[in-house]
Amino acid sequence: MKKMLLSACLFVLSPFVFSAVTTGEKAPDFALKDSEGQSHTLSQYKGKFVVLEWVNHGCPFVKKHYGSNNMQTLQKEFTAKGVIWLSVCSSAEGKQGHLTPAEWKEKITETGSAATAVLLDAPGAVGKRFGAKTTPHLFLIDPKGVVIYQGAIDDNPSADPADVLTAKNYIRAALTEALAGKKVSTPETKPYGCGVKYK
Amino acid sequence: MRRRPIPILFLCLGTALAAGAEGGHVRADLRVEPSAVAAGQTFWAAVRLQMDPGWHTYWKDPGDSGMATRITWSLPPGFTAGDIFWPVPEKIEIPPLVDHGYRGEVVFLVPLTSPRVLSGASVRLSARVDWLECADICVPGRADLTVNLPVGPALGPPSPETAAFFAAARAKLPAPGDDPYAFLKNAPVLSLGWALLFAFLGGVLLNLMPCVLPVLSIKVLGFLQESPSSGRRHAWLYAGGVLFSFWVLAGALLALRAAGDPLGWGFQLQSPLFVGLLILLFFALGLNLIGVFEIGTSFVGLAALAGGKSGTSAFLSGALAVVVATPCTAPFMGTALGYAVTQPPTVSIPVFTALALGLASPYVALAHFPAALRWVPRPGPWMVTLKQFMGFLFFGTVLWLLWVLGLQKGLGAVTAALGSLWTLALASWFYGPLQEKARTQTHKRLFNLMAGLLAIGSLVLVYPKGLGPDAIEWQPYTESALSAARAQNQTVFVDFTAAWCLTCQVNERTTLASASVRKAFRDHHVLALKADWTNRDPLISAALAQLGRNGVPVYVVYRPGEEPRLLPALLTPRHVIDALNAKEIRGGSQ
Repeated sequence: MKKMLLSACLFVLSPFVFSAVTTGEKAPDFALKDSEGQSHTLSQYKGKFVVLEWVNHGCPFVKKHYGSNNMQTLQKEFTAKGVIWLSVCSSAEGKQGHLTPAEWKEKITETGSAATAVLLDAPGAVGKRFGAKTTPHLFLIDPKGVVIYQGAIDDNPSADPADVLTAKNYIRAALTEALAGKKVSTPETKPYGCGVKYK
Repeated sequence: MRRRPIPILFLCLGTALAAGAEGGHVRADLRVEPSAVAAGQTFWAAVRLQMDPGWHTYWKDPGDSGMATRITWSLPPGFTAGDIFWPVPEKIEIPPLVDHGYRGEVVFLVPLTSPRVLSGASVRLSARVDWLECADICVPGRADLTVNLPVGPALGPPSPETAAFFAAARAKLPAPGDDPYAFLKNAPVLSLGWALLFAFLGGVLLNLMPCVLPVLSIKVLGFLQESPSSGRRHAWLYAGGVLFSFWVLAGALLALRAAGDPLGWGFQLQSPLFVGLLILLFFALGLNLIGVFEIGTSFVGLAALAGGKSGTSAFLSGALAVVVATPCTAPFMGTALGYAVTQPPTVSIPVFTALALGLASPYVALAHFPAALRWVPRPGPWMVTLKQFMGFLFFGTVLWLLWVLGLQKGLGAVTAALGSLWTLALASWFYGPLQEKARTQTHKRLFNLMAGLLAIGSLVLVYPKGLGPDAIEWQPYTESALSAARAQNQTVFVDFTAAWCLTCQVNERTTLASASVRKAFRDHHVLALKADWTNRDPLISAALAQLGRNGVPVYVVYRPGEEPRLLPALLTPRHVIDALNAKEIRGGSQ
């Protein structure tokens, strides 16, 4: 009886369905404003490789990759090769990592971010649609709009900046293969980091 | 210029990360199960993380976010460490994410193996622990932990406390063959509404528990003698007492939890002193109920328990009902409390309130529906019989509490408590039956004085000094333990003793338990061996014969490279300390 009641409770209490994108399928289109107030859609970058990088500068894992300059190096390296790199912040207002557009401008200067743009997703709709779970969590979309990689930045789920030197960097590997016209050999990994601070 | 402080702060954070500062919401410690390590053995080491309320750390698969805790060992040459044995985690939901981790406290077990050949007197085992602690935000934590372990001929037996710690940790490991993800299916989720309902039902059921029923019954007895209106008033006062007590308990529980003590229900019964006092209280109430003595009006509190008619007594008995109800954890209450303890006060206080209302409800209901009272038998002489029978329920509770005390502190404590009960029974005999025999006021006063002194005496007895943890870690005597320690130039003290030897018991409780002797044992790193001759043991008989003795007590000190020294049977701390310092033993009869 008690068990029945409990499962009834569980049933009622789990209305949340968390969708995600499937590797090998088309990524959903979205429209978000960046820190400069400019609007970006995924469809406008058709014909280019696009990286979506979920970010929250209060998160130790994000600090690991920005503090060690690992993330900025990747951004510079691949935007120079024509890749569109979009950092997305889904931290809800009042939650860790949420910044106003003005604060974002400062943060971009301060960290030396070389992303094409930082997109603001405080309502979290885009993050949830993509199934972004952690910061960082990366998605690579090919010129046809198909998701060809999603997951972690590298294979060492630690918060220690020293580990970026020894870790195998998945997003670099995926981008290098994709840009060379090869199939991404590791198209999906388990993301690691802080949970995205959704509303 | 305005931006300057931020990069500096960032730099500082980076340095702190690199240096691996602890996050501050989690404390880590390391211990090993055996008290000494030997060559070619595998033994358990444990890393414990204690988390502040609201914070959690992660399982080997952290789930949607987070980071598994890592242990990196620095061990002496030849030592190896196995993989972490992970206790079953819980499901931690931060919608829409689901993490796998631990709240409160977690103990990671790791098997360590020592090399075939082991030299040196002790080994240093170090572990660097890295974890991620998260509430709604996450902070990386790190600790560098070290234990030093003496090297012995065999793995040293763990202290009782350590043995219990490791047994508890092993009990939390998943059973072999279990689905490691089974915890995701039965996450203990309970909405507040259901928790309140269960708490209320649990409260009602508590009335039927053997530890509450006697108290409630007394109140019902008092109840029968009242007019309906005063009955109602007293019923509500009783409910007030119950509520008050629950709130006090809830407050204390929350305060203790805030202090970082992970507590369960019934925690007050973990204090042997509290148990001892309860034993005395219930025994006295039992004696009173079977009619050994009547309680005078001066005992305001106790009069209330025995069914006084004042409003105060109604309130007090409500409060008492809660104190005695705590050990009876009804299954319903377990669910509700498990929920309450992990929740913020805004949730746990209502749950406690619902429990209290449940406990008080049958009583209030009876007062408001006097029709139901008609089903309750009329007062009469049968009530005396019932009252006497109630006394035996109290004695039953005493029996149970004595068992609890025995589990906590052993036979010695139970014997002390029984001695205290004996004294209390004598006190009540002076206070009750003997009063009627008193011919003059002087006699009466004398008897009362005796009763008072004995009652105080019983309180002193229930708080025996010997109940403290045995500071000297006695190990059972074996010929091999003795020769191994001597081979390693360790000082050894052997206590040949027996439970039936009064002198032995006195020496153990006084001299060998004294602070100066304990300190001397520590200073000289003495291996304390106890040869218990309570039951026939040919090995001990032989050892005694070798020393030229055929009885106990015998106390022997073996200093490295010296002949064994026999100490006097009437042992003083001076004898022991002088013998350890290799001074001549002065005085004392052999």
